[in-house]
Amino acid sequence: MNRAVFWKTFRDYRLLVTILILAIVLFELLAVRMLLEGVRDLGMVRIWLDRPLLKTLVRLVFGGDLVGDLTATTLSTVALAHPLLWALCWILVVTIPTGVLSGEIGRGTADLLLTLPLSRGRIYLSTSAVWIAAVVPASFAPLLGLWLGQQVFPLPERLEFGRLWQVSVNFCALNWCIASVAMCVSSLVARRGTAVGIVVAALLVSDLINLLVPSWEVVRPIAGLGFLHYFRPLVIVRNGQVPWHDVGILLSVALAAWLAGWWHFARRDIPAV
Amino acid sequence: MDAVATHGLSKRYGACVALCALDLRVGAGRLFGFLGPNGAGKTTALRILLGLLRATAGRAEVLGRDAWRDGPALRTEVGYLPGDVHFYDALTGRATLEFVDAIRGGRCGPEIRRLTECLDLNLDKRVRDYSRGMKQKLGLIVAMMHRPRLLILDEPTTGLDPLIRATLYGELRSIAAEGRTVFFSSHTLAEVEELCDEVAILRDGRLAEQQRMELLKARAQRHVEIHFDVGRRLSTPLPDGLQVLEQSPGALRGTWQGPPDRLLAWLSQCSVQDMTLAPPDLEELFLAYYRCPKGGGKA
Repeated sequence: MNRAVFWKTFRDYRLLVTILILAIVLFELLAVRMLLEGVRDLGMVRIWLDRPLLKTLVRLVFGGDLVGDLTATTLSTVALAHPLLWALCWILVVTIPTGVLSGEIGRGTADLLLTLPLSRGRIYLSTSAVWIAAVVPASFAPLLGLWLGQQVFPLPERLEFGRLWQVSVNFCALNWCIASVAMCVSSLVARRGTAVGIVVAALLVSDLINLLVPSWEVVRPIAGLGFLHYFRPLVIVRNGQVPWHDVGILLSVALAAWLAGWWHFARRDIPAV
Repeated sequence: MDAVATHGLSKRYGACVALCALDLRVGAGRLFGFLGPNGAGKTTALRILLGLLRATAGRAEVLGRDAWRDGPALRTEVGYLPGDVHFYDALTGRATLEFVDAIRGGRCGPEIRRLTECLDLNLDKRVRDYSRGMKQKLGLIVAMMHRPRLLILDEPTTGLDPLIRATLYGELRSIAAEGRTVFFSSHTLAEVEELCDEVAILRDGRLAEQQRMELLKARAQRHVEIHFDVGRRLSTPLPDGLQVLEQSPGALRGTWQGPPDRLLAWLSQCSVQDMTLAPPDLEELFLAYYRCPKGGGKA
């Protein structure tokens, strides 16, 4: 790894990472405020969640029925599987990998970087290290937000962080996986916009598969192709264990995509802007 | 050892042939001009030498090593200025140079200071606030700061004012005088004429010519105008190499190709009142290479 490239890339994205982490913490803090309303009247929430449509929606978003085991902790998984949280994290995991490879080529700065005495492998590794590191605080920021929220808006029942951190481990693996795919795509194209478009399209297709699986038999065989198939916060909180199988699949895909990106980036032509 | 040597170097983009079996040798310590019309394949060739592009066929050697395989080690001894220079907009000129210096091992400080002074560049501004010329100066410093054995420059004087251009010419000459090699592409033929001691001309991805400058100059035409004593007939036949464009009883205007002493020998047999022999017109020669089909430049 090259420290100069790592720190330069880190400096380029530190503001974005900080803002996104703060936004995640704030979102979770406010989610606790919403949670407070629900926890105060769990009976009513149970009636609502028992409605067939809501039951299906909850199942597809959280990977299980919420109504059977309704506690403050299980209810808090709503805030850990919320699309806004995903969007905030995915801005980060798409922005950095596409900015460091296809972004450099598109801006023309690759001519500067790649004519310095560095192998492409070292550049790939040094820039990857930035998003690998940034994903960790971003994935665990929801826990900080929930903890702060609990201090600001005391819940009648304490959140069980002994179970919730396992969700963040899974979330971290999910984010690494998406970032690796973004890095791979970024190594294939010469324009950042193209790379972002491909990754966002892949995420939308993945979300669509996840959305259709509970209600449409035809889609079930390809359920495993969706990223979110391997992130089920409610099941994790219920089981109280890190879902090593899902984490393993996500990390394997991440490694495969990352290595494929490395292989291609080391061999590809760098076009002039 | 040659600074640059290519053997049957080819590059294709699908059906488009950008470079076709290029055989080029550039000796160490040369100021080498790389010429050709737009789309001739100059930038493709430069990018292959820098390991940015992979050759479809053939081999490129830089300082005796394979340009693709030994790229990172090789680039410690190579400096490059791209044709369209781009930097990180958010960094200042100083931060840019510190970043590059850190990757190059942190030993370029004195040379950076010397070049900055020489090229008169303000390093405290952000690159996004730099003019085209300032970016070009920064690019030149980045290319030269580590005193490379081979300096590859793509259109180095773009955006530079005449004063800085003259300073750069001086720098390039002193680099060549130290035995280091300057390999540059340019569209400014006067610049090539002034600086280079050898040139290669590329057309349609092929090498049209590679020649020492003095030989090219000898081959180039010179404009000549001769005024004879009125009333005296021109008794001696015109020498080979003199092409008459316009002739009147007392004057002759045309072009001369060949060593001037032959022309002077012929003139000594005539009764000459006055004459003008212009310097070799390389521009015409280069343009002939640019325009004509295969080998046309030699015609």
